[in-house]
Amino acid sequence: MKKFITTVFLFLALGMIVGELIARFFVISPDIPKRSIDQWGIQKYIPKQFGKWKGGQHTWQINELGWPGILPNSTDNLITIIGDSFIENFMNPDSCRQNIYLKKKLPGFNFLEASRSGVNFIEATMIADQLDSLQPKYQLLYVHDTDFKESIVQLSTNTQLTQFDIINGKITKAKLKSSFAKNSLYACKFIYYLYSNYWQNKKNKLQTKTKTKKKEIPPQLDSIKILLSSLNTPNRTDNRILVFRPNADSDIIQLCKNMGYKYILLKQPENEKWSFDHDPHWTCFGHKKVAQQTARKLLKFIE
Amino acid sequence: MLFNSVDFAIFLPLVFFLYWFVFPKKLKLQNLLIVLASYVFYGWWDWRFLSLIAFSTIVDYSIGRALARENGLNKRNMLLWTSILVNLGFLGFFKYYNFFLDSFTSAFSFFGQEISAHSLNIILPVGISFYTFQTLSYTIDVYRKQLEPTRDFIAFSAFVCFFPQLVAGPIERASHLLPQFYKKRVFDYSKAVDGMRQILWGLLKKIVIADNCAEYANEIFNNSGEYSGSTLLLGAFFFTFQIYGDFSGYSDIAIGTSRLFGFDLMKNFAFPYFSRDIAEFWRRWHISLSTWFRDYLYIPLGGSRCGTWMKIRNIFIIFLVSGFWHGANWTFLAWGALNAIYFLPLMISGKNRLNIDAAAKGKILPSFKEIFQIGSTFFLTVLAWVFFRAENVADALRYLINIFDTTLFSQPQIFPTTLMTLLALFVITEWLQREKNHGLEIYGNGLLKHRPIRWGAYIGIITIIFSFGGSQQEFIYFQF
Repeated sequence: MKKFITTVFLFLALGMIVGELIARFFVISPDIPKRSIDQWGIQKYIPKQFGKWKGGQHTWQINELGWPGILPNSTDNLITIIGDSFIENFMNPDSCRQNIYLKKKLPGFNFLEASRSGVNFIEATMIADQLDSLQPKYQLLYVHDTDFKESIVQLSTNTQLTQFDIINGKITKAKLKSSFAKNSLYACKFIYYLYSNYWQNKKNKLQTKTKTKKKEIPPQLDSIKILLSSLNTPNRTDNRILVFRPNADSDIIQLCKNMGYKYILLKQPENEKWSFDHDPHWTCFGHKKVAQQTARKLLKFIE
Repeated sequence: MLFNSVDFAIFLPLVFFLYWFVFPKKLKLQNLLIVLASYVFYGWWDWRFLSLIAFSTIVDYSIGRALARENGLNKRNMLLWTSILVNLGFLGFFKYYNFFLDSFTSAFSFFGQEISAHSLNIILPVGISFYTFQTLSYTIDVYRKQLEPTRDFIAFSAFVCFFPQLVAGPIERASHLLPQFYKKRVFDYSKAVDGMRQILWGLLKKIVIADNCAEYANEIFNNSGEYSGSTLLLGAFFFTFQIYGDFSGYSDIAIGTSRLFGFDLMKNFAFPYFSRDIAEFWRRWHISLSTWFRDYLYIPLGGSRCGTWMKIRNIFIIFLVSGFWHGANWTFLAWGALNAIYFLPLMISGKNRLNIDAAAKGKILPSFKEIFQIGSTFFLTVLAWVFFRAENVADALRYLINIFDTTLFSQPQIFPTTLMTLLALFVITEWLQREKNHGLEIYGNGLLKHRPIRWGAYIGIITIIFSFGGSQQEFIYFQF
């Protein structure tokens, strides 16, 4: 038995070493940037980091402000782009970013991106508040239906996100949980590959299963209305434009409109494929199309 | 719980640790642990159906005890039939109720009589066909006085629900597996290592071969109207490897896992696609089921020691029942009937036992005659699997007709090069290993006697599993 256990452990250790070498050589799992938490309780990235995306064909970078992508040369005539992993866009090279495509369409403006995966509506609002100091002409908040729900403690509790408690009207700041463990996991590429492909996938599948088993939750419009009302100040609606992904909930859009937000609803033609095969995020083509529609509609606001 | 899941990767070492380190000297506790672990393993899927296994265990244990006390033939017959009715009753209700109901209503409507019948929304308990046959083998062997009825309820429970083979076999005979629960198990290094190898080979078969073939087979079978004859033939070819990789992969993992716990399960597959005739194929495919039917159905019916018409009848009965065992659908009956038709000429001409040893025994390459024999047997098998995979008999017939149209010799519309390369490598390895117990059995000399090369091969296989593994799918035989 002792011999068997020793052999198994030796083999596992060797397997891990070989796996790690293969994982690093072929970049089978992406590099993940380290995060910190700012004074407003928003998780963002530690500035000046670089890493490779899966497959190693392109690299991502975190700029001096702690957001992915390249900063504009100037902040004159500035338009900011705020969003979640769709804008963070690690899966595409920097040449496929919204700010690059929008700049091509509207060369008279400078575009600055501020994004992080999982950003909800309230966090996007707070990031926009911070960027107000740069006096942008417009702030584009790329949102999805779930971003509103994820902003409310009572609807979707997540201590890693800044959320709004609609019962006592307070904002609960995000916490950075087990960052050492996470960083260690990200450092071991092979273990991270196993974790993300088998454990996390399984968890996601289970969650989808339980979600489908549960009765459909009716649109939490009342709660979202409370959230929007509490955030509703003129400076937050005047120059902010919500960019909704295709097929967004029309009730939520109407609610935002009633609160004074300007909005753009993206429309994906049936014959166009904007996303990757096994990943809902936009491809370069998708980003280009999104930027085309956004620029066209943005021009109407500018005019 | 699926063998190819993270849950099982945690479950197995945990049970292994408890088995050998916490209860190493107490046989009863080890057996009890097996029962508990098996119930957790099964309950992971649906705990409600544990009651069926428990009930079946209690019934067959009690009948076994009663048979031990009873000498009168009538009472013994009654006890045997009670066991058969209870076990087959459950199986019949859960597996065949809706089938018979639908068939009756269809038959009545065919003759112009509309009858209203309500089919039930019945969930088929995973593995019911397997453990039902296993417990039946116990009662029948005790009835025949070929096996001493057990007094050890825990050992019997462990025999019924032994987790490695509970849901998809091999269907063990009580006379082979039950006595292993009475004896103290001693850890055997070489057995355990070989078990690990067999698990690894089983995982490769399931994750790389079966799951990848499944993607293409599903696409082609689900949209068969859109594809050329050559593509349809390729679809049937993919299903042929899917079902082999899936089921024999499960058996390999089951046998390998059992070996880690000091148990020997019977061989269930012996490289069946290298068979030179259909009779040989059936001696090498799902051996535990074929021999079960042989011993408990075919021989009692008279087997081959009777007149020609009786032989034909017996052959048809055994193949039809075998087909029906797989599922409540006319397609399985058609599959069984087709195999009976394949088998009959060999049986009648007395040539059904021509090929007993492995093909090209002791040689690397087969002769031209063997290549032809293997190729033609494989082709017949591929055609038969179309019935097994199709939704209904009409679909299967349409599929077969469409294979043999003018587009058969056109270039297939789907030709996954990576998968074809993997299949070629897989077939070559299995061919080289065909005289052994499984695809990764290593003994004797050769390069693999050196540990670095051996370990390199294992790591290579693991890398292939991670790199080319298909999307996780349930084992096909879970539904039988």
